[in-house]
Amino acid sequence: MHTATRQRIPWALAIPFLLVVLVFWMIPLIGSFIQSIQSDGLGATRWVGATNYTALFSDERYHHALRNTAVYAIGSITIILPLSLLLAHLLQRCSNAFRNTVTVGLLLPALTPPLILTFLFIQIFAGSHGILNNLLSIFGGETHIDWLKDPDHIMQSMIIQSTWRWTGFVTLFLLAALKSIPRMYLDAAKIEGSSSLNTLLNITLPFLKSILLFVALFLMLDAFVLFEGAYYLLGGSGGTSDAGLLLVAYTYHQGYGLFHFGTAAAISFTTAPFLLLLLGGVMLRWGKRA
Amino acid sequence: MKKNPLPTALRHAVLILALALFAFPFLWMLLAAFKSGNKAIFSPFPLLPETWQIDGFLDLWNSTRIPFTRQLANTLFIASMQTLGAVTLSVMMGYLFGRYRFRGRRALFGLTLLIVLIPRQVMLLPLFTWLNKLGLHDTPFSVILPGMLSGIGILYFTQVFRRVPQELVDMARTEGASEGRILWVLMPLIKPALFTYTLIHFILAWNEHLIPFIMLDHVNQMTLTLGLASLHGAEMQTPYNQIMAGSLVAIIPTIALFLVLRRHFETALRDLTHQ
Repeated sequence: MHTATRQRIPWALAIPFLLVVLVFWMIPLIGSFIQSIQSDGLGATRWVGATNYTALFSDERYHHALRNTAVYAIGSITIILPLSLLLAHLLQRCSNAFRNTVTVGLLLPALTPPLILTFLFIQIFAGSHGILNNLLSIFGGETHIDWLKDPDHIMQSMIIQSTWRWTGFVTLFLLAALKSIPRMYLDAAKIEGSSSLNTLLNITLPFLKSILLFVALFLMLDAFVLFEGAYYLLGGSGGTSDAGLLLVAYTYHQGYGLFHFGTAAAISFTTAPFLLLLLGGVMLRWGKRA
Repeated sequence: MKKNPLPTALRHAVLILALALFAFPFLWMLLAAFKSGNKAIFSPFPLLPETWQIDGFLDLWNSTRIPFTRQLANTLFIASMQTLGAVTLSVMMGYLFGRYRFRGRRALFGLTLLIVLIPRQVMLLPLFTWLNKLGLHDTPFSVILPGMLSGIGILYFTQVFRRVPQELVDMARTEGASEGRILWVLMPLIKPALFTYTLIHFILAWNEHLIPFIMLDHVNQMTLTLGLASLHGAEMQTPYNQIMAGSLVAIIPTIALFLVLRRHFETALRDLTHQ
């Protein structure tokens, strides 16, 4: 009797979730699939099978978008994670008041609406007189880079913006994680005469593994849903030679710009397996534990 | 640590430099809000306004181009409702996954992982078409309802509930509490996680752009960032001081919420890293 009730309870708890999933996820997803096997355009549509998908194989812009998204995600992660770890490490040993002030300051970018950040970053990167160029000239760097126009630098600008936005947020996570490492491990390492590098590799990083994975997952997903931060930064396009075209922006352009609904849906649909591939490892770990 | 003062000084120097770099655009925005008209944006220098003005705020408040207070209220409504929904659903599912073995659990968990992998932003067009069909176009619910589904939130609460000691659950059960009641009893225990997830989801919902951008057309329905963006690059001159003033107002709630909840945030993050 008891076990019977307990078996029923879980599904009762799942009902609201399943309803929301059905209406706001499953149906659009199926709609997306149907759209993706229909012809482009506003008028009468016809079934075209996998044509939209096969067309993507030879679509240069799609390749650009895909590669850019991957570069953006991986670039952001490889810069943000070590930088945040360094900042968190330095912050850990500061006085409380100092640490609190700095963390709040570092966190401000993550709290600011991305679109507003973009307005500011347009000025930071602007032409030959932008703020970044001025800053570089102080340190004797090259100062004639047109960050947002030069295809060699567009992706760098986007990653700088992403670094600026997320580093403080990630630092906050890592700071909390560092605090949770039992002191005795670190003390023991010190007594044993372990070098700082050794301590980092053998004690700190293993402890931080799950939080680092979480952060990487978060940044990865952010790259796949990023729209305004890239689209407006580059003046409502993918930038020169599509050097800054990201997947969501390309989907948006195909759908709302060109009314190629079939193609847009096909792009959306191909995103999922790529995400699956990229995040597979992370998910597998979590799936196992849960 | 006190033994070698040089590294301490160096450490502070590096952190202050980092703070300056990361907070600079924000400082710029803050000061630009008090500058006059278009001086606000093209250069942050001179850093301080020649004369401190609050015209940016006043003009925005009384703007004929966007109903600022209305949009502020819209944003607050959308972000709060979406957060409330997401927290409720995520807690329920996290409790389910974290504390029960039942038939179909694997499939349900797999579905949750798929939801993480296929976020609403990638099925933009069908979502747009479908929400229109439901009559939600240009209503706050077109942003609230799809945003209630948070795969990450569910995964997070699954971890949280797995750490709740079984004895507590058993104790409540022997006292005859129903299963739903047990979830309620456990609430105070997961308070830090609850507040933390609320904070993060609220910030993301508050700043959400893409879905509101495609769903909300009328100025009276728009959220704050959409409204501020519509001031940008219109046929008239862009009132940058108003945009900066508006942005400043726009981030106050998120900062305030962070400061209020930060204690819980730190506890929750520490718990998360303790395996």
